[in-house]
Amino acid sequence: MDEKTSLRYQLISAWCGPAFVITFIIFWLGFGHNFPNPSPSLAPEVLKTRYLDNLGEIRLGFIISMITVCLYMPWSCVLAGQMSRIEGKNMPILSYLQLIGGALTVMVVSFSAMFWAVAAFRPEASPETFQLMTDTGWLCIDLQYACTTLQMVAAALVGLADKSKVPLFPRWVCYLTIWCGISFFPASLTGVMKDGPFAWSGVLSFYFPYFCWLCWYSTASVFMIKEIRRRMSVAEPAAAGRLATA
Amino acid sequence: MPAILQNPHRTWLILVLATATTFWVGVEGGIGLAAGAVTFGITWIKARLVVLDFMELRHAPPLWRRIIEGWLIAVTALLLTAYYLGPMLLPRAA
Amino acid sequence: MPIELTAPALDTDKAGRHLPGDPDLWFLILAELLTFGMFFVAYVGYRAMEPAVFDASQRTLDRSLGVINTLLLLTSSWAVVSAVRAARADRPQVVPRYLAGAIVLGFGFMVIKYFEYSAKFAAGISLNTDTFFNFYFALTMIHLGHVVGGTVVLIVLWSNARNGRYHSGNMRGIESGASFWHLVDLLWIFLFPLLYLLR
Repeated sequence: MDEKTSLRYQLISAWCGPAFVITFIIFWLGFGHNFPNPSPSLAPEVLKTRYLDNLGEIRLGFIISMITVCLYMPWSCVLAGQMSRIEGKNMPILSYLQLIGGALTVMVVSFSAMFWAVAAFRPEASPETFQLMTDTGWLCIDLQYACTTLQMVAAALVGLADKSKVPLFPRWVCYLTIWCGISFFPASLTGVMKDGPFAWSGVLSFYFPYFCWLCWYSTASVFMIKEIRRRMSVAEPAAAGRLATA
Repeated sequence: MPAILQNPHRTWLILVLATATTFWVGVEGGIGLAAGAVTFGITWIKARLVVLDFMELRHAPPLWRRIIEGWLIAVTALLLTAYYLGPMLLPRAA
Repeated sequence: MPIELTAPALDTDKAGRHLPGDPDLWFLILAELLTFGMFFVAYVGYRAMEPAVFDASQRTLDRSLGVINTLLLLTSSWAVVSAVRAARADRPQVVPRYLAGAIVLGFGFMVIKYFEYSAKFAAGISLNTDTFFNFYFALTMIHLGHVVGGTVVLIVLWSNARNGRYHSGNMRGIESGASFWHLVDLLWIFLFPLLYLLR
């Protein structure tokens, strides 16, 4: 593969980041009726009615979410490639760590949406079944954040050690990335809390950390796309030169 | 000046005394809005000392000093507002 | 590709003013402050909605343990300040002693929190008891996580300091770690009156 093609694939993969954010907001948050999301203290009957009233939208939302969440994969691959360039000739363990962190994040998000899709699959099921599947889905996504935290910390550590003339990420972005990764830890409280601001529907364990995650993801995407564009502007004159001599 | 009265030992001593005061106000002052104001006031003084003398922002570029001190003032003001006006503005839970 | 925060130059401006540690670390500190600021204001807001519940539950806390923990963190911060000053004055042999003191005080904080939590759990109080205990456990556990993280940082500093690594020519690592530890102290300065004293 020539450099130009490779760079084009890199650019497409990096743009999968913003594409993921947009589709996630539309389908997971919007059609999936996760804004606001159901409270864990909701009575099973009320929860079932919530599904039945919006059955079509919820099915569509989560089924599409499970497809578009995979846009996170090419994005993680670009980041891994850019990180391994910084790690240089050393063993690229942090790039690997970021890569499997990204891959497992996809599975965590994907499985949580699948549990809700299963709940919406049989409308005649008992209210308790709806509750069980909703609980499973939310605890799936809220308790298994550590894969994502490791992904973020790995990216930040490589960013801080970046000695390039134009670094991939500014240093402050790296520190904010670490902070974002830490800000997930309160989400572990959702495993116990059924009410209040730290329950999975609460301000402090849903809206705030998810917002932080999207902020990190969008900021990182911007700098990754910039980096690829920089390389394209260097590569293109060279490629044109090769064509001229051929 | 004796060593204990010099920075940062002096700062530490003031912080310990301030902690004892808040404890005493909290216990002896009992329920009372004035006790709340004193508690927040002392908290602000303590936090400011930690920021200026321990985190060494007294000798930092003014922008960062203003940002962090601004956070201190904003949070203390918001806490006072929520403490005094919250009961009037927010709905009571049953 | 060494991962370390020890760039050689100190960030001192023309007027001799200096932001301790890695200047970009302060973005993390600011983000932490904003997050906890939100927690604090949310706590007082929720408290205004259920003052009776908050008052009754707050009374079950052991205030003297709260005070002891405040003093432990304050003294620990003081020890870290002294370590930084010793390094700056090129007395590298004193630095690990102060850091060791700070670490011991950090562990003391954790031990007291352990006794506080286990007394509450033994009394049948849990994270779900009421809104006050929602906040009490959530905020103190998040803060305790910071204490644990900060202590790990101090242990790393201590082990480096034992090899005489910190002196006036290499301050960035120790100043960065110190700034984080003071942040942990600063947050507790707010948490202690909010959770234990406010009526």
